[in-house]
Order: sequence, then C-alpha cells, then structure tokens
Amino acid sequence: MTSSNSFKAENFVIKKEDVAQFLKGLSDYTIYAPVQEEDTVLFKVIQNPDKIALHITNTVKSPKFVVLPQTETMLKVTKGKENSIKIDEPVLDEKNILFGIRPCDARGIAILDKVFSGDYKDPYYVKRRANTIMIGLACTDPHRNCFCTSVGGAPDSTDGLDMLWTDIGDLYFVTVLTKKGMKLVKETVIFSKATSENTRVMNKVHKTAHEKITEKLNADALPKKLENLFEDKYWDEVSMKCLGCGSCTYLCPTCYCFDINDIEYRDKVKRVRTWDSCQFSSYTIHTSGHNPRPNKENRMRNRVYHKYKYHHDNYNELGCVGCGRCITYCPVDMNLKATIKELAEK
Amino acid sequence: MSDIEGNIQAKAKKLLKDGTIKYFIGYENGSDPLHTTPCFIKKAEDVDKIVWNPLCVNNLAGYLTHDKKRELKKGEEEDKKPIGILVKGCDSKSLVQLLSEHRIEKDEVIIFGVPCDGVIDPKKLEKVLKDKNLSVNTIDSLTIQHDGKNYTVKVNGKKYSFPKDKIEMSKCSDCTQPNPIISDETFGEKVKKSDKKDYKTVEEIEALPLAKRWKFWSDQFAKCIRCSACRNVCPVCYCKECVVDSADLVITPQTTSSEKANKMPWLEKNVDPAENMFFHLTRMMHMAGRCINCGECERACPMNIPLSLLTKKLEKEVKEMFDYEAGIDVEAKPLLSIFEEDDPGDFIK
Ligand code: SF4
Ligand code: SF4
Ligand code: SF4
Ligand code: SF4
Repeated sequence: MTSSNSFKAENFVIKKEDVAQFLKGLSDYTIYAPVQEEDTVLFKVIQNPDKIALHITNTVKSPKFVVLPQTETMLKVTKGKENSIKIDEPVLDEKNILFGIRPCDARGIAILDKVFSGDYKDPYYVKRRANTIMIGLACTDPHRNCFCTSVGGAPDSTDGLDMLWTDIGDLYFVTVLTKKGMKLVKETVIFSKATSENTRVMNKVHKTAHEKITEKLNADALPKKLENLFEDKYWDEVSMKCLGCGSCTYLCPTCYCFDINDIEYRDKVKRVRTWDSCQFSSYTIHTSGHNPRPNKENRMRNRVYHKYKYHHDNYNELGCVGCGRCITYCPVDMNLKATIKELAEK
Repeated sequence: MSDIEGNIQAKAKKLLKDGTIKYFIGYENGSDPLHTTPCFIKKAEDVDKIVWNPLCVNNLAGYLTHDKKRELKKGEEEDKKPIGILVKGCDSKSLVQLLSEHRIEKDEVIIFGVPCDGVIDPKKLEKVLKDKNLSVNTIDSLTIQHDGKNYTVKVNGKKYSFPKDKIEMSKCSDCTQPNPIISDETFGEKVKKSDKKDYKTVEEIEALPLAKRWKFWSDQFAKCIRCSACRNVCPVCYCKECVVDSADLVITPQTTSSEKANKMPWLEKNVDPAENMFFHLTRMMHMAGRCINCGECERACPMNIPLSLLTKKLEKEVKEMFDYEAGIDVEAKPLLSIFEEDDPGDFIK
C-alpha cells in the first residue's frame, strides 16, 4: 500500500510552536492523536491541538482501530412498507490523519495492509486505509518493554508512514515519505527545508534512541524453531498463569481476528463485524460442542505461533512489531520477551 | 531473603518432595523489577524461585478453579493431589468464598497464609520513581521495606522513602482483613489494621444527582474494550458457560440443534454504550454477595475503569440490605439462596 517506492524522501523542519497551526489548517481531515485523560493515554479525535500528549511512548490501545474499528456495521437492513426492505451500506469517505503514531504501530498497520489488501481485498479496510494519512513520531525514550529492534523495526522506522517527525529540540525534523505526505506539506508555508545541521541533530537523536534499546532478542530464529515445538511441554508450563482474557490481543497493533454477527433489533437487522480474540475459549468452539483448542496452553500457543510462525510463513515477516503492550498490560505479567528468548534457545 | 520467604520455600519444598501437593502456586520475580508474577512450582528444586515481598499483588485463588476447568489431554490421568497456595488476608476471603460455594473442597488445597501489611501498586511505584528521574529501564535492583507509615525503596543501592498512600494499592488503605481467615500454616506475625470500612469514595458518587451519576458511569463504560480481563481475573468468576459469551453455551450430546440455533445471545460482541452497560451491570449482579473486594478487576483493567467503586458499592449494599459479608465463613450459605427470618429488609416480613 505504500507508494514510497516511486517517491524520493524529502526533509523539512517545522517549529514546535507552529504545529497547532499546521493541524488547524487540516480541517478537511479527522485528526486522531494521543490524548491523556487521567492516567490513560489513547488515540482520540482531537478538536484542540493543545490537548495532544506526545510524551508517552505508546498509547494503551494501539491506533489500529482507525483502520479496523472494534465494531463495524457492514450493512443495515430496515423493513419498509409492504414487505419491501431497504439496505444501507456504510459510507466510508471520512479522511483521517493519524498524528503522532509511533513507528511500531505504523508497522502494525503495514502488516494489516498485507492481510486486508493482499490476495483478498477487504473493501471496508481498503477504503479506510486509502483515506488515512499517517504522520509518525520517532521514539526518543523507548518504554521498558519495547523490543522493536528485535523484530525488524526501529524507533525511527518509516514502514507504513507518510511522514516521520523527529523531535530535535525547538523543531521537529520532518521526513516526507510519500506523495500523500507531500501534499500536506505543500498545502502550507509552515515547513522549511531542513539544513545539514538539522539532519545531523536528527541522526544523533535516532542513534541515541537505538542505543536505549539494549536488549536484542533472537526473534528471527523462531519461525524455524517453532516447526518442531508444537507439542512441546513448554506451552503447558508458560501458559499456567494466563487468564485467557483478551487484553493482549485487543491492545496489540497487529492482531486482526474478527467475528461477524447479524443482530436483530425490533425494526432492523445489522450485520456487524467486531474484533475477536484467539485467547477466548469461544473463538474455536464448533457447533458440535467440540473445541479444538480447549485449554489455555492451546490458545497461548496459537498467539505465539501466529505472530512468530504462521504470519511469517504467509508474508515472510514476523507478525509482531515489539510494542510491548501485551507485556505491560497483561494482568499476570506474561512476558513475551522471555518467551521469545526461551523458545530461541530450545 | 526474608524469614517469611525462606519459610514458605522450605515448607513448599517439603510438601513437593514428599509428594503431598501436585504443585505450589506463589509468586516469582516478574518481567521487570516493579513486578512479581504468579508462579507454579512443580519440582522441589525450583522452590527458590518463590518470593514474598510487597510487590506480591495478584490474588492467586482463582487459579484453583482454572485447574478444574482444564480439559485432560489424551491419555493424561487426573492428578487428584491437593494444590499448595499462598494467600494474603484479602485473597483468603476469596478462598473462603470458593469453599463455601463448594467450587473447591478443603482437602483439595493446602493453604499457606501470610498476614499482609499492604501491597504496592506497580503503576503508582513507576510514577513516583519517574518523578525522581528513575526510569524502569535503568533499574537493576530494587528492594522494598516498610516501616509503619512509609515504604523505603532501595533502587540501585540508593534509598528513597515514600508515604504509604502514595504507592500502596488503594484497596489496602481500608483493608479490614490483613490476616488470612483460613490457612493450614501461617507465615509471619499477625498484622493489626482498623476494622472500619471506608466508603468515602462510594458515598461521593452516591451523592451525585442521578443524571450526573449516569453520565459518570456511561463515560467510564464507554472506555471499555470488553477484553474480559476483569471477569477472568476475578477469583470467584468460575463458570464454564458465561452469560456474556454468547458462543460459550455448554454443548452436550443431548443439546438439540434447535437449542443451539435459538440460543439467546444475551450480550452481543458490539462494543457500544448499551452492550457495555449490560456487560458491567450483569457482572455486578452476579457478584452480589460473592465479591470479596480484592480489587483485582480494577487492577486488571487496561482502560483504568474504576471498577472498585462498583464492587465497594456492592459490598455496602449487601451489608446494609442483608447484613451479609462474603468470604468470611466457610459454612455460610450463598447470600442469594437463603432466607433469614430476621432479615433487616422489612419487605420480606
Ligand atoms: S497473556 Fe495475559 S493478557 Fe493475554 S490472555 Fe493471558 S492473561 Fe490475558
Ligand atoms: S504481540 Fe505484543 S509486542 Fe508484539 S505487536 Fe502485539 S502487543 Fe506488541
Ligand atoms: S478489564 Fe476493563 S476494558 Fe476489559 S472488559 Fe473489564 S472493564 Fe472492560
Ligand atoms: S473485587 Fe473484582 S475481582 Fe475481586 S472478587 Fe470482586 S468482582 Fe471479583
């Protein structure tokens, strides 16, 4: 989906005090950005740019919901006069900007792109995605559970992004990566060309961030290792503490499983697509009552296999971007990093 | 290593060695210095993993019911030996509740009780350390000691003192049950705490006019992503078939196809105000007289929804309406299945 292949990246800078004006100028778009409410930072639609909270590395919930909403009405059937029915499809022409998305989350959306607009094109996703511009913010202070550099990412990765911004003091260094990104820059006079000094500072900021992520996991070994570990006792042991909630999968930027249900109301029926989670026992239950993944060891194994083998088998890259959310927010402190390490050593 | 920790390890080792228990559920060090995590010790030589310190937050009692729900593998025989488990005062209430509901029987468990003077909220700890410019990334060692009103946190060799209420789990500030109600062996000295419950936070919400209260909870529930962490972490939520999982109907060879087809989806997967409200109210209805206010649901919630306000309200209502408290007495009958002639509610007479 990226058009960056044919586009030559160009570098600009913007003064921090001009960011609000830049965003206000984008009135054709719905802008999503991190907002802090009490202790929770989430991507929300912003009206007032002053509310944007860029100091937190990762929002609790990944911003994938902008392209893959948790609840999406696919169609609505209403009863009209005399047995006639009316079918409404959603209009998906809202133009979105994801501002301040972190490189791992942007890579997450790049992964979803391959799933939803590869061999099978999901019309809802494709349309939303085409209407979404992603302005990334390079990480300068990686969180304790970040491990992007072990899974093919980086605190300054540009995958999936239309622009990458880097905090270089009083300015943001702006690398424009696509035509979509360039259009926004061209619409205003706020951006100026980056100087070689700006570039030097930007490179230094990126290097420092890389150095802060000290742990390097041998995640690349997993697709091969997992070929022979399906029946390993490891899954019984490591999953003992798992609660089978869906926290890890619902917060994850790359989990995309969904369920579709027809819901009856008094005067209408809606066909609704919602997120689903492989950690729920209901995920695999058959109508016969048989459940091929009856226990948590089966379900946790699936989560790891999907990210570290099946996805790799299909798309030749890992299905995890190392954002660390599934570790940070797991109520029982399930440690995916430790799991990767332990599996790689088997 | 504290004496308590050492004694717990020694006892667990003995019980594992002589084959009394099939495994021991306790705590070990977690993914970073601010967290411990539940551990399941199966071999005597692994007991030195077990830790006991103020970061041992999780309530482990619910795991006893996980074991019951697990489907045996082909050829696997059920191990009927009891499970050893570590419980703090509050955790022991959920254990009592499970025993009184006969979800587990006394001979299925060997209880290691630890009197508890409060546990630390890792989120709060991370915050106060950050204020001191200490990022978790740079912490190699962290130990916590506590002396009455303060905690002394030693980070990388340097000592910092924090007032209790700044870093403790909020549930600990008005805990009335610091000592395990039930245990086979108790580790450490009894702790004295006030026996007065504090419902200030609940009363503040109660005092709001209806419209404001409605708005408060509607806004809170709007944040919910229905991940089920609150339900699944709950030590007394153990049903195999849950009303909120429309697909989870327990199916037997006798279930007819029309029963399957016409099964009522009480709750849809849609995340919208109506369904979310229903999810939470249903959960609360099912918790009345059973919730022991361990605070786990609130702790588990990634969206920081103040679920303890609801559970405390429930506790208060149950006390006022029925003079009943969950998790106190193993012989007690479940609240909603009993009738007392001297019930304080006059509608019943
Ligand atoms: S790993 Fe953690 S977050 Fe995921 S299902 Fe298990 S308990 Fe829930
Ligand atoms: S599996 Fe965990 S670390 Fe990987 S992308 Fe998902 S939430 Fe992030
Ligand atoms: S843990 Fe929080 S977000 Fe998850 S279902 Fe419960 S209330 Fe909702
Ligand atoms: S406080 Fe929450 S987790 Fe604990 S018993 Fe009550 S409902 Fe369950």
